[in-house]
Amino acid sequence: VFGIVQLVKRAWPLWLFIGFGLLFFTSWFGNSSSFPIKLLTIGLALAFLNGVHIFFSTVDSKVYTKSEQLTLLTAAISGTVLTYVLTPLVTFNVISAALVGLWGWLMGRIFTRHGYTDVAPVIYCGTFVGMASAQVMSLEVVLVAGAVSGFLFLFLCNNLNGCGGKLGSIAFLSCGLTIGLTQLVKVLT
Amino acid sequence: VTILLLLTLLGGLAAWLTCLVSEKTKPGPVFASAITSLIVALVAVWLKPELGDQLRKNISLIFFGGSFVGMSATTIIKNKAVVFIAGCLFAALFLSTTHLFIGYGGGLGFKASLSVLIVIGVLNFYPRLKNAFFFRSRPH
Repeated sequence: VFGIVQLVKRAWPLWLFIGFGLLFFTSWFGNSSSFPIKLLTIGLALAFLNGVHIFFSTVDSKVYTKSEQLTLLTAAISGTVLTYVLTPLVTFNVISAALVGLWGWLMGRIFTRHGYTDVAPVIYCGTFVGMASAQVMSLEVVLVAGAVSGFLFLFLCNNLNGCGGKLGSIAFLSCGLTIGLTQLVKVLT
Repeated sequence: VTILLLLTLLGGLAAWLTCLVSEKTKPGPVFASAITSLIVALVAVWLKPELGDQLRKNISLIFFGGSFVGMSATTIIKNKAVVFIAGCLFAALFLSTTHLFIGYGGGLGFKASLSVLIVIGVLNFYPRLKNAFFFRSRPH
């Protein structure tokens, strides 16, 4: 029992990730009616679980200092807010996200000169949160989601390294968590 | 149908291009993804308006998501063809699930990571599958 508690405690983002992935596959599964597509979906889900197992079985040992953590959090929030503010000014939200990503790359170069690593990926992660449409999330909610994505990046800094889409899935998890929290607050008040 | 096929190939192209740029140049994956998708999004803005807003938006979104697939490190996926296949898989996932996660930040990235994980899982099983279904060629 103690081992299971430790597993849940140490790797809770992993369970979140697996849960969202299986939710995705089941919702896809529910739409299709033909048998081969169902079989294909089950196969894809199994392959997904295998990939998650491969990635989470290899763990790096990265440690951030207090000041580095603070910088990464502010970087995430700034990327989020910038993208959210820029989006109405351009035609597609991809353009604003890419522009803020370029700015983040510049900031990352400046910060690595002073010894702060990983600023550029965090800003890029924040831009994905900021790509959320204004109908779904207001500015305050997006701010909270950006902060949550920074925290999640700090939690997941040793897992999933080198997997394309890690930043995007962090952004997705943070958006899901924040929207769930706002729903909870609405129910309670 | 041809448009869907072309969009799927576009996802693969995006992944391949981003991988190429991030490998060949110094700045790294974030710069490669941002610059390629910015160029393609600007091209999509200047495309003919007869194509429709939805299609033009889809082109930019698929390229952006495909470039996330291409951001994965070369130590994880060594083969460029595998990156291309992963990008195609991402585009297929995106096109088949456009009704999910509308307006949520990070839905694209989640699908991209799903496709990368699927490809890696399949690749891990591949030698065993080959042994099970086809008789293995003996090592010389």
